[in-house]
Amino acid sequence: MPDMRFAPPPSVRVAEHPSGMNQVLARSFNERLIMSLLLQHGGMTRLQLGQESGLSAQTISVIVRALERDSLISKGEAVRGRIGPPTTPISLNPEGVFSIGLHVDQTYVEAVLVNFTGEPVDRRTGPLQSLEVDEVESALLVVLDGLLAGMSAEVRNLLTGAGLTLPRQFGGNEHEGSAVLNHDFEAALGARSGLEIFIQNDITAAASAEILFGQAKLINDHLFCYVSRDIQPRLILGGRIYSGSAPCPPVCSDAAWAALEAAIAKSAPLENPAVMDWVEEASRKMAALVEELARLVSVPTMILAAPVPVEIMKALVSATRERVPSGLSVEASALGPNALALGAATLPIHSRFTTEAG
Amino acid sequence: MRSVLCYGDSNTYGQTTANKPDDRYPHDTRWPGVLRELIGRDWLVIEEGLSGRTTVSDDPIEGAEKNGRTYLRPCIMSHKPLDLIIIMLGTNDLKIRFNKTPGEIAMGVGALVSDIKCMPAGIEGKIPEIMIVAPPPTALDLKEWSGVFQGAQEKSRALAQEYERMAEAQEVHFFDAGLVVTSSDEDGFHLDAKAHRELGHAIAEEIAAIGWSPLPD
Repeated sequence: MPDMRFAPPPSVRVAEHPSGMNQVLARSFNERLIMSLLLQHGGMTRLQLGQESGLSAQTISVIVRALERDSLISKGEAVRGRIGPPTTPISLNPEGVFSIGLHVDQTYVEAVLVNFTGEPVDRRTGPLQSLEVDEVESALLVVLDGLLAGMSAEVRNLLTGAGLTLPRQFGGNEHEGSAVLNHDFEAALGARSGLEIFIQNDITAAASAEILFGQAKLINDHLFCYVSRDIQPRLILGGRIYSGSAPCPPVCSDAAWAALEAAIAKSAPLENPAVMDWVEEASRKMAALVEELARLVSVPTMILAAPVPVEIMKALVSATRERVPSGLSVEASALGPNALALGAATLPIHSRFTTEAG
Repeated sequence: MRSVLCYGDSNTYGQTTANKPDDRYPHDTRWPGVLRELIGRDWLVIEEGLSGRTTVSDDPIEGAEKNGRTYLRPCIMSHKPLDLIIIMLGTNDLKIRFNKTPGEIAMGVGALVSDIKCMPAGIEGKIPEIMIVAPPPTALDLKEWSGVFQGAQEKSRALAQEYERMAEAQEVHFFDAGLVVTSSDEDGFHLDAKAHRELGHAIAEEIAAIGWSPLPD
């Protein structure tokens, strides 16, 4: 027997993008740790990575080389060194990984393609005539096909998976809604795309996208509220997302929401009574929610997301600011009106490249 | 002040490409000298290059003192405590008399790394940082040395990959010198003055990229 201390080392692991190896390649915990830090902080030097992760400089060096080989991090400017000059921080390569997000809403389905840093690259939507399972599934396949057809073979190979998000419950026909929620979309979507499918509640996924890519990157404890017909809050403590079981009272009726959507399509929506009422009522309800929550826990920040244009979002944020205690900072989500689909797209990235449970 | 030991062969010693014995570049031309010029304010750069040094073998022709393994221990002990040890060896192991594959040459480097890890030669009894540097491939025409280096052209082109594999397994820093310099066409396997300068700059960058916390005043 040879002395095994002198056995040849294992071969260097290299992902082969053309065969889609990147998709199935499991990253080690330490690699995920480094990528989580880079997602959170943007560019970092190896020294900073070492200080934040507690890993040794030599371990960082090995990880950086491995991530660089797989094009997951951007090479520095310098031509001389492999790893770049010290002044050039290491950052994630936005083009290193892509992910698809699919979202089923009450009246439409949506598909987005995002890159490794969560920036939307492409988007498709399709109407839903009804909430029958077959209708929903074929609408999802149409937007998915549209997205897949629109991307280059290169991007196709770098897809890490597809996320699907569904609401906790649909309005309208309760029977149809629950049939959709109980249906196994994974089989059809997986077969069509060849990707692993990740499924999650829409609001929780959006809250986790906010943590990974949005406003909450550097905030630990906060309250995330998604506002449309009703308010759907998530409490984030120590990076964990909590949701309650009792629904919040609705902000407006379906008819009022339809009027708001119609107003958004026209000019000067802020002067429209449907919008003004919604902003008023939503901010009032959120203030009440904050007051109730304060009995149990206090958080320094509140992040609002809603499927509305920026100017209405601004109005909602300032109306809410006026009603909540001054110690609570209120911010608009960085995800914009498509927060739910972006949340879906975040699921595969979360699951494969970060240390946090998705 | 931090200290770095540059442990290498003739290409660290600064042997010129002129094919004359003991023809050495001046101290500020050799890559450790270039490095000293670049980082010397914060670093003591220690040159330990010996022409003909192998990774782990006594040389039956040139002598047992060419063995990089037996000299490594007393060498490190003479210079400790060290913050960083850079090893650039392997070119002499390509000589046909040693009959080594590229993988075995890398294993020789790995043995040196293991030896260093067994010595508390770093600051406060820790193990110093270690950087393996893969030497650049030889030129295709090795002139008078063709017989000595039979097959080295092909083998030397496989060294960087094997070294990286070893660096990965040993969890140490790695740099492929072949990314920035080539062996001189003059004699086929030595670095010329320009290559020494380029390598010194690249190593300075690699050292800085490791990331060092500021020294206490």
